[in-house]
Amino acid sequence: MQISDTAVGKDRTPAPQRLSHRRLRYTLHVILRDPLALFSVLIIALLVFLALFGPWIAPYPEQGKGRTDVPNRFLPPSREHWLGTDQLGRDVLSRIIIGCRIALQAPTVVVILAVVIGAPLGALAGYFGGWVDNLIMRLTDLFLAFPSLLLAVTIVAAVGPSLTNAMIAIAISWWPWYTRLVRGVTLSLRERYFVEAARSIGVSSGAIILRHILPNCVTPILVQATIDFGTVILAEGSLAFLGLGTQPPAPDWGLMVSQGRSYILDQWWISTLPGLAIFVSVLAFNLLGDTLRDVLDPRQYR
Amino acid sequence: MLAKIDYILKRLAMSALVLLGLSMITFTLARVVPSDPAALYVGPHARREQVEAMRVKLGLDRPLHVQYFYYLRDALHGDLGISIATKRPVVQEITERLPSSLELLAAGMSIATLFGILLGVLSARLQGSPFDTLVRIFSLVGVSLPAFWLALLLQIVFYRKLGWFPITGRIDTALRFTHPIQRITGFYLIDTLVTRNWVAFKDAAWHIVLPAVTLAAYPMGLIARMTRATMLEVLSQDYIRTARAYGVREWFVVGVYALKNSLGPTLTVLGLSLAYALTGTFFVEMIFNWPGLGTFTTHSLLKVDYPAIMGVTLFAAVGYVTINLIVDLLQAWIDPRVSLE
Repeated sequence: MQISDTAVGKDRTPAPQRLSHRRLRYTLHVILRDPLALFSVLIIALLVFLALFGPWIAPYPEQGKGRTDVPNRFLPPSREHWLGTDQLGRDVLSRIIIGCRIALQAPTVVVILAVVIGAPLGALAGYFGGWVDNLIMRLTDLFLAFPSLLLAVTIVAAVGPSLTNAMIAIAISWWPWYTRLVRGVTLSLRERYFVEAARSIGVSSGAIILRHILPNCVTPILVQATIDFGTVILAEGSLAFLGLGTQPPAPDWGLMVSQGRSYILDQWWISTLPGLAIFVSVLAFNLLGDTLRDVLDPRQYR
Repeated sequence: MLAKIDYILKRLAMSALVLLGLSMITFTLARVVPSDPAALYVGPHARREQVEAMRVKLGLDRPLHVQYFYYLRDALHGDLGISIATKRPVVQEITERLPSSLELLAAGMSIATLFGILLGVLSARLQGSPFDTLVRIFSLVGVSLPAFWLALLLQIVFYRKLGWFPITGRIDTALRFTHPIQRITGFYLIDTLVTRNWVAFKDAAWHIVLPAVTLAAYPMGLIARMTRATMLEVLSQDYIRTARAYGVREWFVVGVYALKNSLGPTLTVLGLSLAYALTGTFFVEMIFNWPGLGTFTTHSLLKVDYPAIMGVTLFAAVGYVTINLIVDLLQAWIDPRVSLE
């Protein structure tokens, strides 16, 4: 329930759309009609399904987790091994399936961390302004001045390579984007009459931020998070490729590409197929994010 | 005019602050975060006395701000430590390899900018056409491709299957003896051209194609998307309609008026894609055996050559901030509205 600001003649810039029941249904409607969006949703659903039930679906689950079968190495794609075997005889298809779990774990953790850290900071900066805003913005600029992957690489180099460290490192380079995003939204909402009205009846700043400002940030955050899912899969895969993420024998896709690199010219399937998995996942999230942006957030909120 | 100078000065001051903050972050990562920095700096095969000596040299027993002061002072004097792997100063390693990485970056970003803007403009002008759809798919794919995967793919297709391009190094090793390149700038393409070393020029050009294209994929996608979006907005403006009504030829309207006004956001994206390109060189150089800073960094990471890793990080971050500054100033110069904000 808000007094229409345009009716009162104040501040005509549109606010992000609130995630109402109707809006969700409209979004679903749009997705089901657009073949590309539908495709991306199906791919993501497949990824989630494989992440949850991978070990029961994979034809050779033990090899997926790392058991080797060296006499059968370098087998090209065939009926027994649909995607062939790698340099240690492990079934590539199983490893890709089991790798789904790792591939989706990283973005989930990173995005949640980044939002949890970044969004409140952005809301505080935008709402209170003044030195709080200045301080938080300088900090954000500082972290954004680093190319994000470089920062992540350096952090992992300092603390040692592992999946957890990689996730934390990527999250540290990621939170500033959400701070900026939420700050932008907060700034545009701060001057609205409903905020002034709430303040005038004595609602505390904290409650205003929690109940009025943050809910309005959900849609831009959702759009950004969807695209970020893809980007983080890419980042984690890149770190793993450099040996800075998941360690062998885990079936991380980036790691698999890196391990198969020496055999790329003749046993191409070892590196190419996990890379294809990364590509398709990132593509799906990017597509979905684009569609969501067109539906939920027609004016860019940056 | 005064507003512009004001903006430039403010921007410079902010960049200086950011650089300072950057040095603090790298300092923290280099000396504070690891559990035993001295051991990392000296390497796994060092004796206890060497570790102790390094501990004193790094001043690890001193208070933090004193350590930071020495760190900063050393960095400003060009001392970034000694690489554990090569036993030479890190700065020397960096300056030796920099031209080859810069050449790759320049080639990649040129391709990306040229084709990105071209495709973006055409796609916006022909909105809704099959060409437009194709470009949109193409840009989306470019932005989703893992750099290392694309590199491997290009190697398989263009070397293994088609044999069109070489896949290792900057130049054929035999040519080092038969047609040696005189080192003027360190950029092979320029040096060979200037000294009329045609054989070497062709060879160097052939070697740079695949790595540059790999590097260009993501930035090209980004630039194309941004240019297209901005162009669409610009093309719907009144002044474009007026120009057309006056009879100005279409290609002039689109290519000059519209394009000039669309370049602002594109420039911002340029800075962003440069960050990606910078980190992309790690993978591209590694996979194509390109003797640049990226290969050096990945090798240092594998060997945990700590001084090298930290030195390159600081250097790369400083470089990135500087280039972003230049891009921002360029934007202010092109678009007067920026300095008036």
